[in-house]
Amino acid sequence: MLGVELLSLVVSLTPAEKLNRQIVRVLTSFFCGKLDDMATIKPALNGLATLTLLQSFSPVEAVVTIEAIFRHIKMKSIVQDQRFKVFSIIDSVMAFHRDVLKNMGKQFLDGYINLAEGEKDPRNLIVAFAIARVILIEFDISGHVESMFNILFCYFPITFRPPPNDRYGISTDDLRMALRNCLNATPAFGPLAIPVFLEKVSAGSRVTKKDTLQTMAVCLPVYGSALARVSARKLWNALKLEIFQPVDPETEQEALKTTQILVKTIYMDEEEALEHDEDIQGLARDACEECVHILKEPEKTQAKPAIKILCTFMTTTPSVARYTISQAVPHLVRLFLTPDEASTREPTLLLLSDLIAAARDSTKKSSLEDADPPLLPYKDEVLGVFIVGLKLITTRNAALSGLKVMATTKRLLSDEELGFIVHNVNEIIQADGEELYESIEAILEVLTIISDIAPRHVVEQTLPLLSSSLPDTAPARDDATGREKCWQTLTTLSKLCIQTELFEQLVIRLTTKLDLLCFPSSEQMLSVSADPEPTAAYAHMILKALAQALSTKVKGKHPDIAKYLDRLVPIIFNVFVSSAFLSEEQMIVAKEPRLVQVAAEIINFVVQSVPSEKQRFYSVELSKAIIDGNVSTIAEGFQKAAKSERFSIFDASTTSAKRNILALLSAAVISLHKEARLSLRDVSGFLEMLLRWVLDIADNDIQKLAALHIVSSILNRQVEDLSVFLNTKLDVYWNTEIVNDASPLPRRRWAIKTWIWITKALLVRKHPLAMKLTEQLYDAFDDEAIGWDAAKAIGQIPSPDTVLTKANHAEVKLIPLLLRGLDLPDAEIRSNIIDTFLAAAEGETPEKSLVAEHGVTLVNAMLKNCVSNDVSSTQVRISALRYLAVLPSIVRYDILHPHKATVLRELAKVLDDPKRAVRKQAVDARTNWFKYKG
Amino acid sequence: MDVDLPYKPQWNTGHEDRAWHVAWNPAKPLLASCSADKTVRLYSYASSSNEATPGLEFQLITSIPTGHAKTVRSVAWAPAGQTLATASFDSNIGIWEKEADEWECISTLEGHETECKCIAYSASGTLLASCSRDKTVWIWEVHPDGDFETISVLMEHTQDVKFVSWHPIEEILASASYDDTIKLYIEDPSDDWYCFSTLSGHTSTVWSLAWSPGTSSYLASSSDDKTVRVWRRVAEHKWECVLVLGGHDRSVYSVSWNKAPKSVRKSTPGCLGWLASAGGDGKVLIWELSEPILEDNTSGNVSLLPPRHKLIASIPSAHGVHDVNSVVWCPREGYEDLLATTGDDGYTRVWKIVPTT
Amino acid sequence: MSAPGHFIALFHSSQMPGEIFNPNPVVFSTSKSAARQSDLLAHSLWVTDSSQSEDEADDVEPIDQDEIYDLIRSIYDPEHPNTLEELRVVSAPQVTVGPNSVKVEFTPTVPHCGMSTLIGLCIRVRLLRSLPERFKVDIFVKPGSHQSENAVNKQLNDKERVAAALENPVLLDTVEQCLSNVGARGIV
Repeated sequence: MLGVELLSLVVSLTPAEKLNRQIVRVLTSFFCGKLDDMATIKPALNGLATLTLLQSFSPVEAVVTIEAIFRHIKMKSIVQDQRFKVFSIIDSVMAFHRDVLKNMGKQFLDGYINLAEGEKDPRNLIVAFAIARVILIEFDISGHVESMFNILFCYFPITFRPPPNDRYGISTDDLRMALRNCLNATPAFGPLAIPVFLEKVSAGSRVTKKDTLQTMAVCLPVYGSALARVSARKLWNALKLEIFQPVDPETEQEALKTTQILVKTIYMDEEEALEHDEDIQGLARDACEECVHILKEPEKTQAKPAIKILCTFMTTTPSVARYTISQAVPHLVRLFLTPDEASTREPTLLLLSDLIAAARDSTKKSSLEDADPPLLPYKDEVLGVFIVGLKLITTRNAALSGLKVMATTKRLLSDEELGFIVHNVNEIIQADGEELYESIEAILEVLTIISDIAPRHVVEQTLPLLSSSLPDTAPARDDATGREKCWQTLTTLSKLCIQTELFEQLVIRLTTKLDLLCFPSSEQMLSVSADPEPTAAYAHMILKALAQALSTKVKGKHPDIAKYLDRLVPIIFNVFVSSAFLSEEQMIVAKEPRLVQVAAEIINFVVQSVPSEKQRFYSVELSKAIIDGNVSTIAEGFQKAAKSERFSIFDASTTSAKRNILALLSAAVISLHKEARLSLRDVSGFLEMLLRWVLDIADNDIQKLAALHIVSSILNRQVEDLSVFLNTKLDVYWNTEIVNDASPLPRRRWAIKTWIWITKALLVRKHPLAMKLTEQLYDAFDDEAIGWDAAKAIGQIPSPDTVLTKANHAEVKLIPLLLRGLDLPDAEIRSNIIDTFLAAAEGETPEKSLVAEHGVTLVNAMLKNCVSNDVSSTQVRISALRYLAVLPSIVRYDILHPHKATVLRELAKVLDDPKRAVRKQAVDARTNWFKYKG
Repeated sequence: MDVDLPYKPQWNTGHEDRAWHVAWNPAKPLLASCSADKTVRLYSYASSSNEATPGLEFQLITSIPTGHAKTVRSVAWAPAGQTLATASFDSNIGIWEKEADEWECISTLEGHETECKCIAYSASGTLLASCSRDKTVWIWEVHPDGDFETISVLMEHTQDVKFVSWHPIEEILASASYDDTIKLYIEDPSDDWYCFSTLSGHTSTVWSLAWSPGTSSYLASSSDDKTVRVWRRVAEHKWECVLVLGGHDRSVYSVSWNKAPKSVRKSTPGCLGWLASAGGDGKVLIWELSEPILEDNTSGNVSLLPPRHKLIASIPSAHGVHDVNSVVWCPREGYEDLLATTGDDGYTRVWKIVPTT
Repeated sequence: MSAPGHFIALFHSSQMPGEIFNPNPVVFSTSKSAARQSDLLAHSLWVTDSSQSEDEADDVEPIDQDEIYDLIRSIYDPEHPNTLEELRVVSAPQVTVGPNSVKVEFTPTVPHCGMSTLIGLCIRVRLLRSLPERFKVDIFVKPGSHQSENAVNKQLNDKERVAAALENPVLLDTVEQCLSNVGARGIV
């Protein structure tokens, strides 16, 4: 026995080229001879497993080996590892000497079936299923269908659960897939399999149902249309049950998918032969009739699954789809026009809308994309029904969703018909009652869709309608209704005017209005001067609307934003720069800091969307403006002041209004790409100047922050050129400006803010100094005057901002620092830190979580932060609860299991928080923890 | 009368989930509570060794993980105080004895089809009764060495049976049910056990029962109808409702009746003892009951008059905002003024009823 | 000794597998949780980004009818892939809130609905998990809406039966299914 073992070991260690045919033959015969002895079976199998992989292992040995295995091995009397070897040997022979096995014919099949029968180990089954699939596909199994069926279907459905810490890592799904690949390997299984499927799907648990449905979906096409046709009734009856009385949405979805495949399988090959859609017979016809019958009561629950089935039919075969439409659409149209009860009208439209959406989607991504849409023959009736529905308040939203579908169906509506829809929608906008509010979102959607296809109608009909309702002068102070109306119109415009042409129109119309407001005619000047605030607020709304539209466009990455660098940005600069030049005594609307801020947002949106080559040119002009005070090339518009005059922002003698312009310049600077950065002769000197300017000259927060944003973004882009600045100047700055008691407190606070923005820039670049600068703030905690600000800074450093947009939160090293910050007394700090954790949680999974090792600390910290008696800030409590709600999805259960009871108990107390918003989060967090299971 | 502070500070060790029921050991200073957390907790008590805080000190001595698969709904001590029985929603009954410092399950009684809700030992300790949502009441004969024999299965109720209780002297068994009735059973010497009387009057589920102390010619019952009813034995086999006590705003889950402390018994002629009730409103009410006194000039019958009753103490929010699930007087001589309660908060609390000074 | 008699199932119904009590109830359109007409300009001339400012105010917002309705409206009906709101099984006016008590009334879709106890149980579990412990919750079917009104009510308000029901894994699984999208609070 020892000899066999030794030999087997030697063989496994001998280089393959040393084992020639002769030796392999002798060894094979030797090991085969040892298979009948329980004492030597293990090393013999090991030896054979090595040999079968060798090139010198010939077909003759293959037969010898297989025959010996069939003759001697009793699978039931050997252990799992040895059985695994047996399967591995057969698998190797199957891979290298498949023809030998095929030639063995019945002998091999009988032997293998006998051997594989009753295997229970998952690792072995994975190999066995792989072997079985090859046999089913490539071997002549005509005499073995039933026995192959028996040794495979006995495992269906797979109910195996991997043991904890399973060393082979075989999942239930691995086994399911491997088995499925056998079940669908041959059409011969069909007649035997259908009854099994029917039984499992109706009697099974949720998991079994799902598995069976998915298996049917992959098997039915293989089993073929003839079988599908004869089993259609039975299969449909079973599937129907899962759709009309679904155990859960997922199973319902699977059942629908399987139904689709069943219908496809049945009708695919007769598609060609069919002359008229009306000739459709069998399942599709019957099922269609059944569903249409159910649709007679569109307001009942069963109507939903019925329409889902009909929708599914859209993606089967073209003739089935056309037939379905020809049955269902006219039926629903009739139902709408002659309802027994008005209340059935809304559900009817919704069902119709679902159906035509499925019809629309059926031709996507297929060869049919260029064909006529299946709805075409019924277009007029359907459009008519939706237009009628539009006029009634109760059916309006349903009609709008239907119109949306029609408008998005390619080649369905003519330009004229789209105009007709816009016309009808405009009528609702014009009527402008309370009800408009209920439908505005849906209306905007329809108009937006149409403006993508045929912008003309919206530009010519809707835009004038909306903008004419905006007054040229601001609503008076006491005219709250007028103001509300303005804002609603502007909001509508900002949502509607996203498409290229519409946005262009919006910019023209709104900038004109803005100019009128900021530079009123002399007769209006009087009233504006008397009370400038309403005008400023109105101008602010207009800027906001522009910013909102731009924000949507930025999210959608619209390429046309870039051109507004020439069209919108100069106008904005012109308005604000010119206003800054007007004499100090004049009441100037655009000097209002709130307006400056929105204007900066707009500039930021545009510049960030400009490609870097174009940015490079712009950056040259921008540098001129910042350094030389020459704004003539970046400002353009009706006002001439900006063209002719120069101003130097950083001069101590300049006015505050001019200094505010830095906010606009900064908004542009921070959007520049690295390669389009400002052209500065002495970067370090410029930064130092800005730091001084912040503390010595700048006179409001807008200016100071604008300067710090520039500092931060320059550092971020050019950190490698600034080592001197970082290594020498910062230490001095720390000592003279931050920890220096003699310095006035407000100055020291701004010095800390400066520190924050410098550190932020370094953190994003993963610069080692970032940690040091952060640590340094902890040193300032003991300082009576600024300790609190230093603490606050800790929370602000990693928190997300709009200046350094690159995700900077997932900095692992910072986690312990941040955790320390969660104990600080200030709510704002903690809120910042928690938000940072929340942002970091995105993309985290239990398998790969940065915070897992701190899970317990985080749970305790968050629990402390969500109790209203101790934490007065609503925002902090909400943030803490949000984070608690997220934890179960990002930390493995076993780590937090011991804390589950405590969390549930503590959260129970938070359910009684005085604030509704907090309670809502507490309920959601608690629900997630209830669901949190191993 | 006044209510002393509960002894909670000394033993701040509640269950992890709702505490359902509590039972005083009749012989030793021991208290057992049971819970939805599937454990039984045992507490001991002794006079305080600290002079600053006189009174009793309670201490958790062990928490028994019963091995029941579901909630342990109730616990009962055998009269000798050596054996503890547990009734669980897993439908089984556990019998526990202390062996070498460890509480061991010496026997598991299976038979009920669904949740077992209550168990009770007869006064002699030779019979054990149990009841279940399966509508049955079982009577088991207790043999030595943890051996039990089913001697009767009573299927009288039409709904769940919530509670069983033995008469303190005679072998009369009472059961209370979701069918709103109370049934009384005795053994027919020549035949099986049988129900000899059904007490109707409550308008909803009857949750619990308590016999008056001593010769016990009264039975109290508490109900989902928010009342406590007191029934009097008017003939050998005949009981009638003589008193309805209100005062609760929600279901009355528990009622307990014990003799009053010696001083009270002496000063109150015909004293029937103290009756405590508690329930979903979180309140514990304590009544003093005594036999009615027949006025000299009336020719009536004492049995027509209700017992005299007065509310002597009330504990609002005994377990904070939580329901009180059980209230039980200490049966030991000299400790008659001690009352234990359990609540949905998982705690067991002990209260001492003292005269107002 | 043999086990006596036959017993009704726990918290149950005498439902046969696959039997449906109301195969096809009406689905109602749901109200979009009435987005309040913005009053953002009522007090100020200026459009602001968020309404955070008043958030920190000390005023207590008591738990009210709407808040509780929000908690239960998106519970799924055990028989249909619709919410209790869509089937009008629950509605805001059927919720009554006292200082420490809540009463919820619900309307089964058909008077013989064997799912009523299950629906009530789902409501109870949701509220048990979402409301502060101080609230005592009573759940009833709408008077006259169910043929076994009393039996259903009694069962739903028996804490012992509810506790036992929630220890039944099959039943609990069904309840969890019905509660699977309950956080939607009516938002589709």
